[in-house]
Amino acid sequence: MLTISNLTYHIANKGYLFQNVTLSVQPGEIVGLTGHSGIGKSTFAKVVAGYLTPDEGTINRVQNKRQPHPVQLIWQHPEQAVNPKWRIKKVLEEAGPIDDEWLERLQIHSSWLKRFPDQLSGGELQRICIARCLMTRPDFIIADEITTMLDPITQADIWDVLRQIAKTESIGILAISHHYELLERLTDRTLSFETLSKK
Amino acid sequence: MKPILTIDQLSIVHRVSEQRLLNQVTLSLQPGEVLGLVGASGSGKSLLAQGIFHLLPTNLYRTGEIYYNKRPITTHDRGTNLVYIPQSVEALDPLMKVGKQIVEVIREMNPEQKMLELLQRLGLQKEMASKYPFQLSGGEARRVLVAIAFATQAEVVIADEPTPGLDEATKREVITLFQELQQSGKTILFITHDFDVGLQLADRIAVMNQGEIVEVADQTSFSGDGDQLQHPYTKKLWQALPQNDFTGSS
Amino acid sequence: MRKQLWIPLVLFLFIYSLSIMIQEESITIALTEKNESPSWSHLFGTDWLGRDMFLRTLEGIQLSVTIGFVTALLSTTLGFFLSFIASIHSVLDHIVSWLIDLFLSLPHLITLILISFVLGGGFRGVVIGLMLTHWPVITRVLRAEWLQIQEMPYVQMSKQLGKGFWWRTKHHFLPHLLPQMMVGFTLIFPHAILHEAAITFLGFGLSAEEPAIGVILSESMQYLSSGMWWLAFFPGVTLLVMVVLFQWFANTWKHYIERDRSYETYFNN
Repeated sequence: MLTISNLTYHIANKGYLFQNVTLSVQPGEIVGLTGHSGIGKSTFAKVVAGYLTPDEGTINRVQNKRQPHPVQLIWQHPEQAVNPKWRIKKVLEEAGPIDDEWLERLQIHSSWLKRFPDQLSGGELQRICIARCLMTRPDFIIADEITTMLDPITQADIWDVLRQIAKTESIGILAISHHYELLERLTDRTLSFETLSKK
Repeated sequence: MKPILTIDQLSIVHRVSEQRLLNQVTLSLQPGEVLGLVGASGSGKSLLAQGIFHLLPTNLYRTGEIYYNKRPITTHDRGTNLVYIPQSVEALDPLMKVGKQIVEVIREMNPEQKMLELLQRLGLQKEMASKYPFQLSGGEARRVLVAIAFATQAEVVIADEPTPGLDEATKREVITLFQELQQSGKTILFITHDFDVGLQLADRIAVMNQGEIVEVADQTSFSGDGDQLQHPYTKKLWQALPQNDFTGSS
Repeated sequence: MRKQLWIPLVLFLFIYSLSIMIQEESITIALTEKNESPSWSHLFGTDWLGRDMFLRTLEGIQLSVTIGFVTALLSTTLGFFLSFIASIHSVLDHIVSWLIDLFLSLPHLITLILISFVLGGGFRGVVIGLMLTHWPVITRVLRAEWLQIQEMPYVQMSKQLGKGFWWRTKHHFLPHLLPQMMVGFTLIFPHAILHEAAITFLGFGLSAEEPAIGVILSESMQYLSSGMWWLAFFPGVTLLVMVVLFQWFANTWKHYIERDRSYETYFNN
């Protein structure tokens, strides 16, 4: 289980972004997280995934040296999450040897591997990012608005795969989104970040 | 009614590969309507706007015609009769105060006063006029862009993705802004990847897929199981919404 | 585009390799042929000791280009290390930024003369002086690049995928910085050549025995009034031609590196 207790983070000269956030995600469970723009959901995601250090509070999953972080973050903009000068093959290999099983399950065509990131569409690139994330064998995934920039069909496709994977691999997913109907459809329970973060 | 803007068989082609990024797009806007243009990323929505305003990268060229009020569009029309609201704040001149940028496009007596009226109407403080673009928040910048669209005499407003990744509250606000713009008598082409926003705002929806317009349907056709929709792609798009079947391509 | 790139480079290298082939012994004193104006046997004329000015000019060019090359290399390396230091911690960044501002606020040529003079002139003095005055510009660019790439999501993500600092340096940072370093190098190079000639001409640079363009120009000053224009004209023009050729190459190359080639690779596959 991913347990986040009393997480607090502040920005220099701007005060607290969030305070005492407590939250837990079970393996295989999809939890929704919603809230207004700019209240710190994305920062929260980065803190949990180890990109930023919290001021206070604990997360029970931490990264071991030279090992992938057990909580992986998938970003809203896949084009920023891959090195634009690398071919897709190298992008995927950054997470270790390419596992064909994931490519197949995510419907990644083998011809894409030779291309550069700007030769794939947003939806295709996001699938690459998801495959890269899964190849690190994470225990938990934080999906920060991962389908916001995509059309409904691609969105449905991506979540279809992710839902299956969460179930078969027992990966817990924290899905951050503004899209109420999407979370309603996807998740076992949806939390409001406003309620969690008592200022 | 005669259309105010007609796009006639517009194609956008890559110079080297001859690949058609936009294929024979025909579309017309009736005066006073909001036409929503939706489609996946890379389907060519933005290219269409860039094609209308001659903003294409040099490795692309276009064929076909664009008519404004039944006559071929001229360079003079772009910016006076047609105005473009791009995606980002970067469209504002970073070195010019916001108020001045609005005043510049007003072609009336007392532009200063008119500008202040506009700011008030869009819920912006008077002090906003003396700020520079970098001092604005994302929401303020968007309102300034809409204010500029209000300020021009342009009858047609083409907005490219004005709601990228916004929360529901901000989205509603943008929708209200554009509804006001429509009520002031302007014709709007609203380009978005966000199907929901398109449906809330537009009278008609044009659906784009792989460089082609597959269907133009009334907003009211998007209901129930989508039986009133003609094209399979449009149906699929409608059914893929989380509040409907949430089914993807498979 | 390709032509714009190759023509100046080939011409430049041709003149440089020509100058390398010149043996110093071939420049002989021939008092019988002194003070001759340009002719077919002496293209650039001869000086007051009867030495062939064409050969002397080429000799000078060789020295200038070598100095330019060494200086550009040293400045770029210094810039790289300083910008790297700046990227480690914000305090170090402040120190490096302060140094950059300090050096940029000093008048270029005066600082150069001062450093070269203190070090006693000569090849070493000139090169160190040029290096210490030419690093700030490239350091500023590289520092900005470091800061920018460290903020990129894909670089931050690399760490979370389990990659160490050296791996990220090798695969993310260096490939990103290399084009900037090469552009910086090519921009410093002609600068350094002209500055070397300038301080040598003023007498604070290379010593009078060395066959530098600056030395030739300052010597010729005494003879210009007696109508021997070719002593200054040809060496000066040749230096200018070399610098312009290199600038031409550098500018084209800069555009070549910076432009978006994503479409090309796509359609060539």
